Amino acid sequence: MNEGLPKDLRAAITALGATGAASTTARSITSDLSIDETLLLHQMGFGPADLVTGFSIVAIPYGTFLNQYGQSEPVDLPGATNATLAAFTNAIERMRDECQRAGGIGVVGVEVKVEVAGSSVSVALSGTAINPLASGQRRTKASPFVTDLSVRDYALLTRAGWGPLELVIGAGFVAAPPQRLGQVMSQARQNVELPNITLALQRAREQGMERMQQGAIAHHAAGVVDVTIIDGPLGHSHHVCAFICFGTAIELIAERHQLIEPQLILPLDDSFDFEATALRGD
Amino acid sequence: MTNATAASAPIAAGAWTSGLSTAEFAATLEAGLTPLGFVQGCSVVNWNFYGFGLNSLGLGGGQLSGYSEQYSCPHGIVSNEHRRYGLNYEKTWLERAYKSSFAAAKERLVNEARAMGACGVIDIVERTEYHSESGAFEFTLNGTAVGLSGVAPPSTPFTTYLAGQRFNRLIEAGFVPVEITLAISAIGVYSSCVTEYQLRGAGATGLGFGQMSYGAIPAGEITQITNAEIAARSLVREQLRPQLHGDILHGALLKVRSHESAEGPQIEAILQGTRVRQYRDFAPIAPPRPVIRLVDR
Repeated sequence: MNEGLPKDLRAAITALGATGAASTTARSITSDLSIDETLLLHQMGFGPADLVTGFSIVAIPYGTFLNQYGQSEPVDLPGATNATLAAFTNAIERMRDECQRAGGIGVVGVEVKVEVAGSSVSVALSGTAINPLASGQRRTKASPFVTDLSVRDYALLTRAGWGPLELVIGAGFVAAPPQRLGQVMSQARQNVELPNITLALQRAREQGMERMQQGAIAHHAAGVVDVTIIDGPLGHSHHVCAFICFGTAIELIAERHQLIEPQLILPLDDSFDFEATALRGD
Repeated sequence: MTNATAASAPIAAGAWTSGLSTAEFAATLEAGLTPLGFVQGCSVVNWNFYGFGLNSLGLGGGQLSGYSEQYSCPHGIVSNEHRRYGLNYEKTWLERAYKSSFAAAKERLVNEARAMGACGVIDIVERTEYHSESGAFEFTLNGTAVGLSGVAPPSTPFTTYLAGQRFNRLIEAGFVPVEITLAISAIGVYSSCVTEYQLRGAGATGLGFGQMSYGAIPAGEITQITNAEIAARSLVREQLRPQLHGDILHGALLKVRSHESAEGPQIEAILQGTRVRQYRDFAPIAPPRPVIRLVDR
């Protein structure tokens, strides 16, 4: 048993005071980090600065998702693609502004929520801005970084000699052309590939990944990690294939990549299914 | 008295109750705490979406207070059906009802714990429910009151959502829970004509407001709704910060929900967590060692 813990707790309860009144007039901090994340962040020399958010909803031009009759090839939908990119960009910039106002050097563990409605796309971000515990650790970059990496991933990345630069995004919206009546009739009751939708999804994917890569290049990043992909036909317009991706662009901050050399462990606590009936010999 | 005997002592007088899992119970004993009893607090309030004396726009005989922002129509006189203005407004009456419900439930929970001589309440679980048939809103808090031998209980027992190992690590890290806190902001949106058209995706692209004519709606950001969403997130943090009195809001949960109405989106942002205080200097942990688990599957 940890004998120090009850002692710590007694000291803590005593410190709460008879009235439970606050003991400090310092600026209050809000954070959505767990205690484990906070401890890990402290170990790295950082602490939570404030809970920060970003939001944007952008209109998609009327008619973007209408059926593309008369087309034989997939049709790019730049109106929807640009609206998605604009919503991400606005939300990220607002989050960065909030981080700067809180004195943070970056935002970690950003939760990203994207919603493509019938005629608008919205992006909502929330995360915790962090700042160094010692003033000497100030980041040299003028602009705070934004990353959806968890504190654990951020710690691991830093230990390996890398640092997050920016949340980079990509999007592609492509409409599949309607099949001709002859095609529909010939494919009826057959499980065959639907080339119009396949091609549309493939093109949307290429556009999305390319845009995300361009974003990383613009930030002089070495690569992108922890990419999240949201793809598939839209619920309200099944002929439109959407591909949205976002990840963290990273740069090498050490002279070279550092090997983290993980230790292999063999857990002795194998899980098993406990069946009471087996004990009774049923 | 050891922790084990302290935990077993109340059984002689009458077995204690708790909402703890077995693992949480074991960790609670590890910290020197003993469960005293399952405590509860609840409050049911009248839930009026539009407030007393206000119509569905939040206007009328009553008076709006708090955040509000008006959006004018750029089209001039078009028709009677055309919306001549839009409005974002803070539903302070909903915020008050929600907060008073939470505060009353918390006070009742703490009173039950205080009557047991507890030093705090851990493992708090909340339940909220809107009863549409009676137009009432219910807020219920459940938790486990705990005692600590060798220390006089504080006049106001601490409250926390944490329990088990997470609670223990918080203490070891140099923080002590003070209380659970909550703030809410509710923003009503009465869409302007431009917002309404943008939400429909109607109109042409590439026109600025200056060039706009009836039916031609600019592409781009839907400013009114963006501002309402930003205001909801900003207000909820502003409202919570004074409750912290210089302490830290730990493990915050920000929930933002939006539901559609005939007027436009109705947005609610709720921010809650445990207010914690640093009771001793932070002692950094050793750099954790990366491991790879060798498992079958």
